Amino acid sequence: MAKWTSNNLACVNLWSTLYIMKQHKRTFKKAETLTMRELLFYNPTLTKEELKFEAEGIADFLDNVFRNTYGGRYEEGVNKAKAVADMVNILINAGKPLPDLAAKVDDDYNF
Amino acid sequence: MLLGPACFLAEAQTTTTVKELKEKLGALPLAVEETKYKSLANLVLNDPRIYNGIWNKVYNSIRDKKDQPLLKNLKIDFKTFTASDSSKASLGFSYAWDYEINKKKQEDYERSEFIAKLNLAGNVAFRKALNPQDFQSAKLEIGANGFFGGTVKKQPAAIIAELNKINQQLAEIEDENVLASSPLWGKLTQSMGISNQYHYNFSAVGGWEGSQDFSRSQVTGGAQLRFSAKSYSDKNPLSMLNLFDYPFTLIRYMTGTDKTLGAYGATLPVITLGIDLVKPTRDTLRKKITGETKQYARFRFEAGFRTLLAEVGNTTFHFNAAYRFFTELNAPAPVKSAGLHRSSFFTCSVTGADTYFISYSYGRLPFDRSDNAIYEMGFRFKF
Repeated sequence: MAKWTSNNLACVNLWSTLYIMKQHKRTFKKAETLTMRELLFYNPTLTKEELKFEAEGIADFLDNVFRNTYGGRYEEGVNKAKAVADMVNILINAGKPLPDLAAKVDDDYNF
Repeated sequence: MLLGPACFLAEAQTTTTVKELKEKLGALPLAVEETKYKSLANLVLNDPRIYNGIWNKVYNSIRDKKDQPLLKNLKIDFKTFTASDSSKASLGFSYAWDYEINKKKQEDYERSEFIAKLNLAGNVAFRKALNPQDFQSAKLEIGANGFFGGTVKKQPAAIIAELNKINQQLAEIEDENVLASSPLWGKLTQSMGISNQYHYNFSAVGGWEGSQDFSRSQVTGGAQLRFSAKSYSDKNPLSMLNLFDYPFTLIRYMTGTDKTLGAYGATLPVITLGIDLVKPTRDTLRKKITGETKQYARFRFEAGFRTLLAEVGNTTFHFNAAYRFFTELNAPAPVKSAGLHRSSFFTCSVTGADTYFISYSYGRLPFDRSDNAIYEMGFRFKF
């Protein structure tokens, strides 16, 4: 599992944006143990395609916030399509913890 | 005396046999040569590796010359087709070709993607009677995927630094109630200027499939529209339209999960509308009733909804639901009277972390969708 620390802007920006999106209600410290299935969008009664569609909506909004609100820039070799696809791949994985998503955000964006 | 005629007969027979043998022996080298040549020719001409080698050289040289997007995903594979009893074989080839056209448009307030895909695939045996995979298909898929809204204001560098600082201050708060009522959230969301997000996906698939000599064929197809709207800012008119969330708003307020009453715009349902051409090849019940497995058109409506129920200690409880409705268009009378033309399925559950606490399912899915029916009928409890 990737390191979850408030010194890392990828962790902090991800946590606060998901909070604003009402995906969770946890403090930063407690959010470390959150998994994707505990986020608000992760409806287990949806089909895989429907769930992926919802995850794409989450990832697209996160991408907008990272770049426009927090001045994030794509790392070399990364574009919007890759960054969104990387996030979607983790978001649809029920058991993946939030720090894993933060690590991927850290790989793709430079804050 | 008695042996005399017998010996004569034996001699005569031997002479004939030797003569024949001589004649046969004379023709043998020629026949052996001919058989050898034929076997060798058959062996060479029926060896798919030779054709694959030639094809790969031609294909690679064409592709290397120029960027050939049309040929890029063309796959031809020569192979030997064997009859089901393995007694006879025929040379042939399988082919597959995918061609994708994507036109992407990404602007701040309109992001959309046009999708167009063409797919051809099939198996052709040079002796068609020996083709156990006698199937060819052509498919054209067009669609669009995109968003309207779901954006935030672009901030100047000085503000970005301030917003990052606010985030770090919020991250230091260790009490959930203090965090929820922090005025820093207001500062943050006000600067962001969040617009509502509208996400859509449309796809239409049309196709043909049939045998290699085109003697048997049928059309395939379907179209689908998926749509979802989300509002992530508080006190938004779109959130107020989320009537499904009203009862849960009350529960959240009563359990102290939320300090104020208000429906979540983030939980507006995802909706799918579609029309499909269905091939009921495995639907034995339908075959029994109608006496055939002719394909038919079917309309579907699907919706999914999930919201926050309550936050108790470190466990978050969610309510999850999905409703799926299917109806056959112009269903024949026997199918209608048997009640097979229409079906609906509802399932809901309450989950906390990775545990199901209660689930309820009612209805049935159509035969070809029943693989998705993972929920038990009726109530299920687990504590």
